Amino acid sequence: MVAYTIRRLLLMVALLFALTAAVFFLFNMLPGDPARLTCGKACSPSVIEANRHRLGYDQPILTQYGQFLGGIFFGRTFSSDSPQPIVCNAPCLGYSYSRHQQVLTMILNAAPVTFWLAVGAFVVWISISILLGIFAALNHGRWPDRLVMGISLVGYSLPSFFIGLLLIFFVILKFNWLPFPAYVSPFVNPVGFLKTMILPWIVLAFLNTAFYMRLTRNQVLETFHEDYVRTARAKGLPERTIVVKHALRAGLTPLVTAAGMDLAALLGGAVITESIFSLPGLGSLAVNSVLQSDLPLITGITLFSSTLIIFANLVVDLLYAFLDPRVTIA
Amino acid sequence: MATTRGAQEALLEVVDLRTHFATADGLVRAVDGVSLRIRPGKTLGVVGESGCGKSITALSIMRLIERPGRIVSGSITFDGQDLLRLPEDEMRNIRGNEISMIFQEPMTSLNPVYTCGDQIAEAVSRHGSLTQREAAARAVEMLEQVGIPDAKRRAGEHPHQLSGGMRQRVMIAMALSTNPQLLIADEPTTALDVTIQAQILELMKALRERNGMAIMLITHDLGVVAEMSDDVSVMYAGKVVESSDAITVYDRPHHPYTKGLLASIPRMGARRERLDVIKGVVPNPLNLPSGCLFKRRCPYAMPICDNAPPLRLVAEGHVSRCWLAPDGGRPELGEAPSAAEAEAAALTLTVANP
Repeated sequence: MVAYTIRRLLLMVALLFALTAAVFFLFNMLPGDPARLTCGKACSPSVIEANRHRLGYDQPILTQYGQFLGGIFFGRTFSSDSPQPIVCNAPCLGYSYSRHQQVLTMILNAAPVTFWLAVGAFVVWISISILLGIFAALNHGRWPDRLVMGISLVGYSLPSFFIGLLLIFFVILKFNWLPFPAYVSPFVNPVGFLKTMILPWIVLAFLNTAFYMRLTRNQVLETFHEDYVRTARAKGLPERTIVVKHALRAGLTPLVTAAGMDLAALLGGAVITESIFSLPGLGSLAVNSVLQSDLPLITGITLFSSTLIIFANLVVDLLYAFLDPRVTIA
Repeated sequence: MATTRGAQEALLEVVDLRTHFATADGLVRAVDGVSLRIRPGKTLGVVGESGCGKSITALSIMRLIERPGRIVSGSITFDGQDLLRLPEDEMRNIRGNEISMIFQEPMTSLNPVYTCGDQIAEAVSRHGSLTQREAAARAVEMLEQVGIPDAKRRAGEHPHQLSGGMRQRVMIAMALSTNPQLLIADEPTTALDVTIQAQILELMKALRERNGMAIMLITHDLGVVAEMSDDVSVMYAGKVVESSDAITVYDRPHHPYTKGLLASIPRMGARRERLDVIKGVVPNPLNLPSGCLFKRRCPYAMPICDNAPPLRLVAEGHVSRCWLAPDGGRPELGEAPSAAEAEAAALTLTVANP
């Protein structure tokens, strides 16, 4: 298990290398001149050329990539030959000239918002889907099952911006039950935090509950017909123990896989939900970086999100072995 | 009255049990009027082909019939109480405690995600007041009792790390961990190699001697029944067709179906080149013939077989659902007793002398 983890971690590093190359070259092939973005409208060609040199955009692309990688491991200094050099310590993901901030700083500022959004929504949707999924499975084929599955189908079909706008319109604008979202840290103002996050949580949860509810229901129904569930019944166990401990537990593996990957993807930014509720998370940051053709920022966010997903993959695989002892990890 | 005497003797008495399945194609009468009796500490072998209702009878006794199946009528008296009238939570206290069950498929009957020790301990602590540690110790002790070497280590292993025979031992250990009065074993050796089969049967015999429990042994294998049983009930198409003590059934079978089953067993030293087979197939449960269910396959079939035969007393402690005369000869016209009369005789039957 330890050897496996180490091997996977090494593999992960290799994968990240490949990823940096792909992201870096792909985004550098985009049309548009990054040097042009460094100064405003009243920019003379000589200033642009000067900036191009200062940022290293006049270097061959491989050299630029080398500098980028070097920045991640050892840090780097931008505009080193100017009077005010910008020192970017390792791990340096670059410097955004349109915002005049270090990419890593911007990501780290946005990440907590996305983190709370993702984790909160995750808790809501997992608990609701497992409860309703079991409920539907226990009432298989009867009206509660059909009702729950029907609602889930509706939830599945509605796009998140539609649900989001609907909620904003009724809950915030029409009935004034909640103030318009303005993010505050849960450590500063927990009540304000909850008031801001509850609607985004609902939107994200709604979207995912549909899928997870179906998955839970089908897994429980499937394991219900397993011989070992009959054995559990023959032992005289109460129904709750049979459902949770025997049927759900043994059918949990696909649920964990899907949940791990979905959570990781969300942690990399929930673009639509963050935009609707003006939450300053990674999703909003990503949208803005694209709109502004902020190449260093786009590269940085992509790298950050991909790292999360690769890492989640590893965690899910390790959990697999933990959840299902038949899976040998070696 | 004989019934009273019978009730005192029986640990489990099933009377006229009917378990039906409402399928999309129609009503399947999987168990249709089965009566059985199991004496304390004795073994009843229930024999029949696949689909004759043996397993459904067992699951009915445990009240583990799932939709679309339903116990339609009958009574199941265990230790003086009618299991079919018990509330579910009281039934749960009997399941796995006073009546335990082991199944045909040891490969799939244990939960793959828990260790063997945990699964035994779960049964122990469900029905006792032991601490977790004591239950775990009891699990190891049970694994030792069923002859699993290095029981302590095995208790910490998951089912997939054990062979089929070992898993069936674990199932037996689990079933017996609560000292049940009755063990229902549904084809316990069918999925195992022949040598392992013999070991498991020996184990069950030894544990029966030690614990003094009764066993309901369900099998299609008359050899296994001969090895283990005191009494035998033969089932066909959802009904008991013959019932007696084991020796009588083997030496003087009355029902043509039982005779057919016995003739299809290979015997050492027999000169026959081919085994006898029972011609034809089991009737379609959705479309049962009228009258005797066995008549289309029966070498003795006669006109009276268009009427369903009742379970009739053919000798003391020996009943058979056949119109043939008690000595096996053709009945004389008008000799057949009325169905009600014969059924009453069968129900008062004391299967054998204690």
